[in-house]
Amino acid sequence: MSSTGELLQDTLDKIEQQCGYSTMRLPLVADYFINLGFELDLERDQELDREPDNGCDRLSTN
Amino acid sequence: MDAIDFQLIEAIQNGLPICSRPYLQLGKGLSLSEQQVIDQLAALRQQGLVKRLGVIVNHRQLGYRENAMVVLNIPDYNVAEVGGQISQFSFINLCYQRPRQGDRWPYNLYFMIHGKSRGRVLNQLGHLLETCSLKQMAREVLFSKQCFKQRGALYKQAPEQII
Repeated sequence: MSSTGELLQDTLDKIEQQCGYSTMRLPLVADYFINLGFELDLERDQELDREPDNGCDRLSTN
Repeated sequence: MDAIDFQLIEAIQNGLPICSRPYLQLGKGLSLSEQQVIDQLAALRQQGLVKRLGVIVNHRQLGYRENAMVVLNIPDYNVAEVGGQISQFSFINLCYQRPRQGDRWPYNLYFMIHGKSRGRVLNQLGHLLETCSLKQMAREVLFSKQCFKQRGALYKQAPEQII
């Protein structure tokens, strides 16, 4: 029986073969916080929906 | 974990049965009573093996479509501390470290902000970067364009289901 690591490798290899694109392998090193749920504060959402006002108007910087 | 624990996790990994007494229903397939299922799940929660049982909403259908994965290049000596700081913000759902891929992909710290408007998400990001003194750090902000698939992990699958 394949180990989980071998299975993952096989799966990624097959995805690459089927898609025709190479993948970047970025395994998890450390998790600091993982919470797949999030607060749904629907009333407050409308109040807070506004344009950026703190100078963070660029999507990226290098 | 014993065999029953594995069977129970396998039984709930796709969600609870939608009926008035889901634990009773689960127990029927595992030769357990309703109370035994509840107790076993409570034990798994106490051990931290199950984080929680809850409803999974389709956040995109609720309007949360401006979802940003932010990646930063943080010096290795500082990444755990910065990751801990970022995790304290209530609007952060995920924060973790992955290896860099040289110049091709120099980022090692990832976090995610879900939102209904891009403006709000960028506001929150700006606040975080300012508070953590990260405004000068190299980063990319990757807003989701299309969701092809999203689901929780499966911990046990039949071999033919893997691919």
